[in-house]
Amino acid sequence: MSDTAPLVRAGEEERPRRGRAVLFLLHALPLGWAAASLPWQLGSWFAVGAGALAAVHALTAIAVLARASRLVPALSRAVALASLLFFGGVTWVVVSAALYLSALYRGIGPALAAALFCVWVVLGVFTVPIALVELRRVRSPRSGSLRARVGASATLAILATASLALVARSAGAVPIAPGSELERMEAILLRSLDDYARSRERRLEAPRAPLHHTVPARCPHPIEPGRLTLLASFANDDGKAVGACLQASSPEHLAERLVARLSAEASGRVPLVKLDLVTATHRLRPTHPLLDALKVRPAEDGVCAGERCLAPWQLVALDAFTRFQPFDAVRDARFGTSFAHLASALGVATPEGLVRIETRSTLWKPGRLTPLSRLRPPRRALDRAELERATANAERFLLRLQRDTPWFTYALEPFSGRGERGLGNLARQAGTALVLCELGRGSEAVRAAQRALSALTEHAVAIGELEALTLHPEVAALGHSALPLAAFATCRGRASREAQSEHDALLGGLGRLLLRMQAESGRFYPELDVKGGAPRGEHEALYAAGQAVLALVLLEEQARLAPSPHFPPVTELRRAIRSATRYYGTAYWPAPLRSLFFLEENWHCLAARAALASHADPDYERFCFEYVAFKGRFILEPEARVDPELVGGYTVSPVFPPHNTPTAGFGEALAAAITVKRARGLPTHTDEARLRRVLEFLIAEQRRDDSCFVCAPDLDGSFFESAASPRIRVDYVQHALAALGHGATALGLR
Amino acid sequence: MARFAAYGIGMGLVALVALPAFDHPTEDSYPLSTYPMFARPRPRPRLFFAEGLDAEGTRHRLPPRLVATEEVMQAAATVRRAVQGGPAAMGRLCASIADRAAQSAEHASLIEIALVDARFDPVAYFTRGPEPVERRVVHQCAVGADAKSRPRRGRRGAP
Repeated sequence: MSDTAPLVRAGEEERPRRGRAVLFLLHALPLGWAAASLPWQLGSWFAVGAGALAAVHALTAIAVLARASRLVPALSRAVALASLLFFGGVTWVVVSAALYLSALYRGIGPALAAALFCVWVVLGVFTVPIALVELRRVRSPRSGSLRARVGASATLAILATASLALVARSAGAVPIAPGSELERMEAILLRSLDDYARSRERRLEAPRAPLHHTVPARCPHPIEPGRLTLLASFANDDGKAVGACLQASSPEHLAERLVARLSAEASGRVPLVKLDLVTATHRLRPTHPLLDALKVRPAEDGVCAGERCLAPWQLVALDAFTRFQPFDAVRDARFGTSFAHLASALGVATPEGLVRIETRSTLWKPGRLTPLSRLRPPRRALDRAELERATANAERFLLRLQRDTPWFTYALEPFSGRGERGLGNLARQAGTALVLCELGRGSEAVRAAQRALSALTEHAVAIGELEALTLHPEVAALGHSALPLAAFATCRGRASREAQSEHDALLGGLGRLLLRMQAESGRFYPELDVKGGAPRGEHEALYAAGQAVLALVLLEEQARLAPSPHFPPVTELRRAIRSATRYYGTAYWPAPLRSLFFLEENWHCLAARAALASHADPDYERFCFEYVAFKGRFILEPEARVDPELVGGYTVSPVFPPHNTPTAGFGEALAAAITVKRARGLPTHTDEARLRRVLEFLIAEQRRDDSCFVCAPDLDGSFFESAASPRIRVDYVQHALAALGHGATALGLR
Repeated sequence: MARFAAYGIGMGLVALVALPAFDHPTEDSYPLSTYPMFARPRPRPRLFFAEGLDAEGTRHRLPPRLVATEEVMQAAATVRRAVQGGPAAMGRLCASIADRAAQSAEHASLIEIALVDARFDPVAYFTRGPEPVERRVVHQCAVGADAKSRPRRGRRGAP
């Protein structure tokens, strides 16, 4: 583009061509849509900016259509300047957001930068080209020399860089207790608390009374540098969990105040004490709801308003990290915090003056101060004993879920121990039975699994010679029968000779159902019409196809090892398995997609391992290898420069705390892939290192009675959904047990 | 020649993208798609849910935890199974919801629980609001100590 050849100079009154209106309309429409529809609240700077820009474009289009030759150059210039201004504003916000979050969450840089860059580029398409074209079209002689324009641009660039540096700096919290002093302060607290415990000569209160409470602690003064602040929770003489906020100018005075408070409110017994020493603060200023949602880190940060404070664990207990709802129409799509909710939880009228606090979290009992990170003790290096303990505890927890009824308690609220029962979830009941029969150490586990499977038979429906397990009178879903069949077949292998044939008729019927639900291509239909007995559906049922392959492999194994007249012919089962592994190993997921993404295919890896000795299919195994290679991208690795406590966890970004079940599911698939690779003579060193990190993460996330200070009794061995979501569900533990047990075998630690 | 090639490639790409539109909507493929999610008529799913009524007759959608569990899908399945299980199953579920409502300060205004069989238009749900296009109360029970349960045989009708 020549610097000296403008198309039209400002002031020239050439009549504009009407065709140019299309250009402006093509910008006005998407910008108007963005202002009205994107998930930014109305009235936000983005909505106002995009709306204004759309309006300028629309006005210019109208002027061009009217051939208003005096007006068009001015409006063109307005379009160009408004576009550049808006793009500059968005750039500033995007870069400042990236800097802020990078400072808050370590290692987030590349992922966040990529996401924000995508948004930025899309907006750039609708602003920068039109601005350049229109500026060139209407360039005025008063625009100045090249040197002046370069100088102005350089000044702007310097100002932008300086302001962004300030933004990055302001993202950091203001330290209250210097890092070098923390260990000394904790030593003083421990010594004082131990002296207090010895002076009481009473027995320690059992740590089973949960310290759960969500009342904000009242501090004598707002938190500020130069004043040490300690949030403490303990059970008082009535056995009720209470919180206290203590402040002093020195660690010695702080310890004295803590002991005095304990002596006054817990005079009868020496309680377990949860301590949160405030180490840094950061004023929370609203910028944009999307960014605000991420400004408080789950299970790491607490929040204060004036003298009222909530400790990090209390925000988790209040479910404060699922409060930002970007889409009004989808109420369940929520993540992150909402300043309004935080203010409400603190009992203040407005979010003005909210302060994020960072704390050093510990749990005291006489003689010991246990550091806690995200509500649990720090992780330890993986070894056989740790794996053994974690596996046994998870198994015992599952057995406790089946005390009074064959149905496992579906979910638990950890603070009260209140359970959700009687929901009749076939897949989770069967999955739990499956893992108990696969990995259970003794006859108790197998008996529990068999009871669980017997309960499923009440949902069996005969469809001619087929049997289906279904909760729906008209439709039998593939997964509701496939996973139970896998569990029945596995448990049959562990049953005594007398009990082995108890459910053979059902196994045979379920096997025939899967054969009926298989298409000529080898794929499985997702459902079957109960009345007509015909399979139907064009989509793939998530998880269910892999479960069906696994079930057929296990049934064929049983049919070979301990035949039953009820089972389908072995030849028919073999043909179906070959057909299924061929389809799912090739046509199901085309090669171009494999480098981009996969869906949830863990069960296919488990099926590939089960089929290793009898139905190995190289394409099916490769599908599993490529799947775990893809999924491995979501596992946080040490190179990601994240908090070491998160390494091995599965998450789309370090902004969101890793979730335990996806982590465990990946661990299951990876353990299976390692076994298959080893059988093929392929290298597994990298996979094994990754699996170790996954198992270390899971073991650290497992709840233990001696450190889960908010937990009701009998939750030892369980798993929360994540550090930020303290819900316990039977399948969280089921998958974790499977990952730990099969992972231990794959690593030679079992 | 170059212009001819450019037109040829450009028009060819447009034709390729448009080609699936002339195929059967179910013949979806990668990378050229018939966009079956837009090509097919959208069904109106039948869903079951629980709602509470206050003294003024205002209906309130109940959160899943009041029905059975924290999980939306599991709560919906619980209501569906109770409705399909008949009056006794509906009675049990309705009574348990009424019990939980009676203990919830947030739901102190409710005097009655209803299990509803309804049909929704998914597009209208998001564009006009969450009201069903057809609804039928299949069971009702009172909240409180004198709770009584009764099945309903009401006709399906507009909300």
